[in-house]
Amino acid sequence: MSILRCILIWLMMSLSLWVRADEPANANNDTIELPLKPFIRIGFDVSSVARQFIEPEVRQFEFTVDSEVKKNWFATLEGGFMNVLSDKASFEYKANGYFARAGMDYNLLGYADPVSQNDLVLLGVRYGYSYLQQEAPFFIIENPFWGEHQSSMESNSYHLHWIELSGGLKTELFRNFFLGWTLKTRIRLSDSSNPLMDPYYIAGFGHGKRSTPVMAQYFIFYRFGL
Amino acid sequence: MHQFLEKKITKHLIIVLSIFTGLLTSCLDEEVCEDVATVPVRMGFYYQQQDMDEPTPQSIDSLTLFALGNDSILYNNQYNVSQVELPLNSTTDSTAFVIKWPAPPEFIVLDTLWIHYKRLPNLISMDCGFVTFYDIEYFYHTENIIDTLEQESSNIRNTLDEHFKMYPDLADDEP
Repeated sequence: MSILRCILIWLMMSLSLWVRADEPANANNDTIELPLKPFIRIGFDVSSVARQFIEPEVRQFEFTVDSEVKKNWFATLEGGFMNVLSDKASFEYKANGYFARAGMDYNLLGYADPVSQNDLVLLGVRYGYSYLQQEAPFFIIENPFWGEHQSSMESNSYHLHWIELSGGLKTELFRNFFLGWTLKTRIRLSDSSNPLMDPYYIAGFGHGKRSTPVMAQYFIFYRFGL
Repeated sequence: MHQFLEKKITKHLIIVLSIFTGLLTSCLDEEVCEDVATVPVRMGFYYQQQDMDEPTPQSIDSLTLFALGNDSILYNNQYNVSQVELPLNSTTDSTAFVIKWPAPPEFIVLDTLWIHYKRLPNLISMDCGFVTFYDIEYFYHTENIIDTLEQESSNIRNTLDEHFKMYPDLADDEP
């Protein structure tokens, strides 16, 4: 897991430096700084749709809003909802939840001209909160020594606070239409004490059994000028 | 023209990297159900040498171990045992294990270990289903041969952690 994380971070940083190295030489002190052009960029997580092909029981939809509040600094709000439904021969499990994140991104490319903010290499930090309700109407535990038995778990709630670090790219494909990806790693701050069960999937965070999950997300964005 | 091509290449690289990272992260959850569904308490046997800080693993011969309330024997007169796996009963809040120590034929030397715990159902994966994890709340034991029992971890999960270190007073077996 740690090796994979290193590879992904290395790839991300290498690409960032490569993109920066390819910038034309006129992105220097000769450029006249223009005032910020206000905009709102709204994004949708398309990887959540693709993820349903791998794990159809988990459905999560995520939206983002960001705007440049200071040169190369982008305030970001993210939110969404999640639904898990699995009805198998040996168990039934249901969960519903929502999440929100707020934070800032910094553009490493650092254009002097804000009108040209169409290719971004971003490092960011977020605070996240997630809430969910889960239940298991029945499940069968198989124990080779004690035999199998059936049990259930009543509906119960779970919440989690976390901090996440992210890095990624955004690039304008067509006018005001962006594509981007983000790699995120999360650090748990606090969660429900003594939950009846650790959630299978935590809205906006990922699989519950990973203490610091790394997640890749791919977004499409549309930028609205104000 | 050259700049336009470079930009095109960058965009394609972003897309290719996106697919690559997606494939990598999606492969992380593959697991074998038999491996993750086994959640026993692991207990190692040790003795403490006077001139060493760390305890030394100890192998025990002719060890018999069974759980109260179950007719099956976990270890039946087994030799060269340095660690045992104790399956907890997931329908009750405690399980007792009886250890029959090696002894001359005319003697039966037993110790009993009671483990009390909280049961935590856990959905391992959509393919493997539920298993029970445990949080040990307290334990106690008789002291016929058991000199000391140290708890290393109270969280019983599907890992290879050792949860207890047992120091039996089997002076003849220590080198």
